[in-house]
Amino acid sequence: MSTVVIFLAGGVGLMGAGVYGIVCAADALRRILALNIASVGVLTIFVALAARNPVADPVTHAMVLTGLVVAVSATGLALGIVRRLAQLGESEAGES
Amino acid sequence: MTETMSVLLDATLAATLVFIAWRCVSTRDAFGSIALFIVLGLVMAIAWVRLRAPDLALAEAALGSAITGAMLLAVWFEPRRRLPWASPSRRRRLFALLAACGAMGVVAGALLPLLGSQGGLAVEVQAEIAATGVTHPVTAVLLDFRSFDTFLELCVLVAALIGIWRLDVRGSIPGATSLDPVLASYAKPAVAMLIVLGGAILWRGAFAPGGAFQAGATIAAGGVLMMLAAYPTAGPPAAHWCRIGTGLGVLGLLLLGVIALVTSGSFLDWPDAKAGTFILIAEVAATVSISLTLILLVLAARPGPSTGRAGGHA
Repeated sequence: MSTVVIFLAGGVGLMGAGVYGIVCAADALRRILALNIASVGVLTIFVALAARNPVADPVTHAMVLTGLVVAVSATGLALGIVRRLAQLGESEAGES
Repeated sequence: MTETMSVLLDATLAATLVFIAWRCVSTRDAFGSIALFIVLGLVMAIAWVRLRAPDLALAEAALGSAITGAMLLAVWFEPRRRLPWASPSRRRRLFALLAACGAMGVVAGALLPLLGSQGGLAVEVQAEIAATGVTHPVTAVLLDFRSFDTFLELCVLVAALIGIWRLDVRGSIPGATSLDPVLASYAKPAVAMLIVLGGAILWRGAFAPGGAFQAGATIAAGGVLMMLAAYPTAGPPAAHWCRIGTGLGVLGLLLLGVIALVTSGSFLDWPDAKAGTFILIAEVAATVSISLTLILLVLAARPGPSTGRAGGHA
């Protein structure tokens, strides 16, 4: 049980650090990074909740796995948009 | 392990995680921040093993840490991205601290009543697992009980890739300009081992921690390594093969779902006697498209000739 409590607290702490980073970040890359930290914190909370039971809950595990994959997809797309914006900025700077 | 020792280990792990996360969001050095994020993912994998979630530990190490880290680094290597980040103003930091404390308070408040209780569907899964043809509960949930979720998850991956292709990014794998002999001689056996490892993880998924997502991420790591070593033959296949490969998982599950619809009357509900075979086919198709999609997400650029929009794919 103590393991669950410790990592629940850890997950909440990670999420807090992520939220702090999201609000603080002026740079898009940094904001995406912070968002990923917050999401990994939330996933840790779920994994800890699944471990409360004598047998860890496989349905929660499957949901967390889905969450991980969706987070990676969203991060990939967000980084693609960041690159595109940077390249648009470059071509504008080149024209002027 | 004694009780005190395990508490000590867990507390150290959790404190390390929070410390890394804090350094990651507070440092001004962009490269350092990304490196810390990759380390965070690896330490997180150990923490999740402590929480009896080896499947997720594998996925976090391969997907959350390695693939996401490669994506972040690829963007960092773009020109003009290597400058140190601007330091936020004092007011902004204070506001962020308040937001973080607020969020943590709300979540902690919601978690407190859950502490003493138990919940979940582990017993229900165990009761029904014989009908799925696999013995590992997480695989049973992913590809039988909640296969519709997995189907949509594969759709999300493909949708993200289509979105990136639509952006017309001039993406590239950084450093892939000349063959690095040291990296190349390491990459050759490493990629071969990663592919074999991916296959083993996929096969093990039926009865032990593993499965399509972990296997796909492992193989994708091999692909990224090949491109980093700048092998002349490395890189995505021709555009039409990319489309077929990335769509294979979605199309395969769709086809299996329709077969299930015809034989047992409901979409993606495998007939009990053949469930194991259905799951195996679905997982192999999913692994192929997950690994290819992840490689292409890291690369970000559209494969093949970028001029001309022939082909008419949406």
